[in-house]
Amino acid sequence: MKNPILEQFILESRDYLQRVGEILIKLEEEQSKDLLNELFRIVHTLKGNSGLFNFSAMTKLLHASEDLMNSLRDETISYSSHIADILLESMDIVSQMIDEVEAYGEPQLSTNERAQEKALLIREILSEKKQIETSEVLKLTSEEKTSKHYDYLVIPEEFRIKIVKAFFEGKNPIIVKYMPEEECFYKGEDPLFYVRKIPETIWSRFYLREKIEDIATFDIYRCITNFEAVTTADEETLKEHFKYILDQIEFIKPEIVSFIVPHGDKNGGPVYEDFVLDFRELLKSESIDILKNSLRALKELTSPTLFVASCLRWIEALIDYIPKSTPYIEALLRSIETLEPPMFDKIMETKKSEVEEIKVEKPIKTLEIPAELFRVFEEQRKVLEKIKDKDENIRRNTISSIILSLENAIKSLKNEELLEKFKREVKEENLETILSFIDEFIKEEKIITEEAKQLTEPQTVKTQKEERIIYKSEEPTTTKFLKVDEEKVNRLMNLIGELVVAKNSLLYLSKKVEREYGIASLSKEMKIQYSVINRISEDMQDAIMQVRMIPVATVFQRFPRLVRDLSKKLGKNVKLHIEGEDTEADKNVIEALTDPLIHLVRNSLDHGVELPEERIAKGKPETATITLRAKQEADRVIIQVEDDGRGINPEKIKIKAYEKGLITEEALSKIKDDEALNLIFLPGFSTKEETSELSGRGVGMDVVRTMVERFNGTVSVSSEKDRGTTVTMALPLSMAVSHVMLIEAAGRKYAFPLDVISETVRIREEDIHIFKGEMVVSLRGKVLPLFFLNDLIDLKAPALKNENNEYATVVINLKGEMFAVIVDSLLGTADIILKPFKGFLSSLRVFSGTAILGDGSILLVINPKELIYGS
Amino acid sequence: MAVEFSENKAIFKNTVTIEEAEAVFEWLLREKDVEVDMIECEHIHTSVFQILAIFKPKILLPKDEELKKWIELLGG
Repeated sequence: MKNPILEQFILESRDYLQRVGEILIKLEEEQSKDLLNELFRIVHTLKGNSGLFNFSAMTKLLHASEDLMNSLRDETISYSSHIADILLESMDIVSQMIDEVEAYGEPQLSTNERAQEKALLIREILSEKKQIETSEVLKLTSEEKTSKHYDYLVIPEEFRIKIVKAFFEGKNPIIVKYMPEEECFYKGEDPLFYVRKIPETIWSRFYLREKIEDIATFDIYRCITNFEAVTTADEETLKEHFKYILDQIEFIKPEIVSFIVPHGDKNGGPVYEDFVLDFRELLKSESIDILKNSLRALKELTSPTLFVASCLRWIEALIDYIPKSTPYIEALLRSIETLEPPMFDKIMETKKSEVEEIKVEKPIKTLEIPAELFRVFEEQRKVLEKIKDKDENIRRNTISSIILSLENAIKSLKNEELLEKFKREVKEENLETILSFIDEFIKEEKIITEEAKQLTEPQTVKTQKEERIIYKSEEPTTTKFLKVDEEKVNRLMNLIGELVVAKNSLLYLSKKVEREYGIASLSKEMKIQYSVINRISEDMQDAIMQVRMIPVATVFQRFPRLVRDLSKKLGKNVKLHIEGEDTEADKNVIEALTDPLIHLVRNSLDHGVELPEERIAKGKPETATITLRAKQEADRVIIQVEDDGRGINPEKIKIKAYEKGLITEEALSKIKDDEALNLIFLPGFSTKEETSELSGRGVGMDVVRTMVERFNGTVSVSSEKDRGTTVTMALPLSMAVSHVMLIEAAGRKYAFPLDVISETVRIREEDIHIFKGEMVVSLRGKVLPLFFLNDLIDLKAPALKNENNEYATVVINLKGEMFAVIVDSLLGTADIILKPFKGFLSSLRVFSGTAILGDGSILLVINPKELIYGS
Repeated sequence: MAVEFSENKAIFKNTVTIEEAEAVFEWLLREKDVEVDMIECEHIHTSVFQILAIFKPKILLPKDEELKKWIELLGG
């Protein structure tokens, strides 16, 4: 896949989907408006992103999901397990589509179909709910109606602005909907009169509720006119006003945000990014005049029909109410950037408490912010420079607007003297005089600024504290994390690995210089250099290891979903408890954990945890707990899966192991209970007859062990009857660097992992004995099986002896089982970066992987266990 | 009478009540290119108001600022 945007899309989408899954599951436990909002936003973003590519089925499904989430958000649909299922399944489909996009460049037909079906299903749910909703709305009394049942866009923007201002002035505007009866004229009513007399009306309108097909036959005594008005009068007054016709009146108590809806053409106009950036800065100063000037300049450049112009008008109206209105202004600024309707949800949450706080903390303004003023002057100066050669007409208009801006700026300084001076000097609207005034001002201001800085210090601190409160929700969520393709990190790691190996050659070289050329001083210097490079490369290695460390949370996070789905299927109540998810380990280790963990959790769910009735009968809480725990112990990461289920009966295990012929009769009587439990890890312990749909206790346990051991880890189990079972896995924190011993066989280099080598010895041919066709060697009173490496790995060459007629031998200790392997020669130890085989070669178990040596040659690392038991 | 009709002009004065509605309706049905002078008008009954909303005749706006807003909404 070449398209970097698509790659980014895939990368991001996976993160988003992961988060969506988490939220959906969390929502089942606790209803949270914040989570619903986040959910909606993520899916909205996903939908938008998918729209960039031609994945229409994906977009459709996401769109439907988004609508459903929106209904959840405005509570027309309540969150339920069923809804969660649908959304989770939808996200699974999207996830699959993303996988397919990565693999094939586009989603597969069958997946597209599934997505379409799901989207349709969601649409059905939505339309069903809508019908229910409308019938419910009819039942609502007028007082219960809330802002969402009104089309606010029928109110022209200028009036909506007035209404919003009323809100900020502490009033509570009410929308009055008046639907007069058809026969009202016969009752002596005059609806227009009533409406005209509504006190404190900000806006009102009428509309005919039906279309007149044939005017000639129209019954003029039938009232077909509806009225609407927005008033700041209180409800009691209104009720009094309409007391005889209250049944025809509906009062709506709207929310302020319902009115703040910028509207207009989203295309065209100048570029606003800089403006938004600057404005945000200016906003912090809370200097209304400066903000207004900044707005006016841009408004003049923007056609009033544009969406952005509408945003600007709204901001202009709200400026007067800073800081109360600041969050709204922020949202509108974001709208200017995104051209999307403003999202007020976030501020709605924080608004109430924070506005209060701001009121208390608002510092007393003494000195203004010279830096901003300074900028106003500089900006205006630039404009003046630009229009110097322009047409007289343009010049005059611009100059007037500049004078106005400057005047306002100076006014904000509250310096009467300066203002007078300014007015005097610019009276003639002469470009040059204005320029010279600006220059003078800038010069003076510079000095003032420096002095003021010291004086304003304490206030500045306070201002910043306050800002933090206001802008908390606005702070961009950029972290200092860098998202890098794993391949790139791997490449870096490989290069560092090569460096680690290459540096070794320096040491050989220095020995050679001393031995063959006899230059001791040069050899010594080389050794010093080597130690420097060695230190750096070790640091680098350490650094790259840190990069590769990821928290176990990346594996753990999939389990809430797994546990949720499976426990539902099994009819068990299970709570998943996660501990230590921040524990970090190498990415490979973490990934290696996934499958064993799934096995273990499934086992716990299926066999460990009892059905609710059984648990109650045992006097245990109905809801079982499965705990996933991670912690670091020295250089190992410990992962535990613990359940409070029925536990494993060691007697049964023993008997079964004996029946399967896995232990002898003697062992059966001798084996301790805790040892018996670990028999479940033996291959062949489990049988098909006891597997269930999900898993079988024991099924996969040997697989778990194999996987863990492949990564040099260990696994053990402990259990107590009716108290639960705990499976503990211990894995190395990192697997990137391996310490090996290099050996030579048939002219090629191989390596044994150093941790399995107990010693290296030289043995004479006559020390080798043959018992029943098997070679053995006696070493310090112990008889060890002996093998020729060349035979084991099928090299067609006899083993070489040294000049003393001895074989070089490596003694391997595999968990207490020892054996000796004869090689051609021993080459010393090295640190290598082991790369496991991939593809076809991965079946070659006798080697655990390869590494590249300093001279570029390839080293095969032997897997001692497979070497013996595999052959 | 709060309404005076000439051939293509009607003058509304003070308050126009529901009693005038039929006359206004008939006149608007009959005449083309008419003009309604509401300069001196202070209120019109809803029945008259909705007749104007249906016919949308040319209107000379009333001096009464509040009524003027409503008449402007008729879009005549």
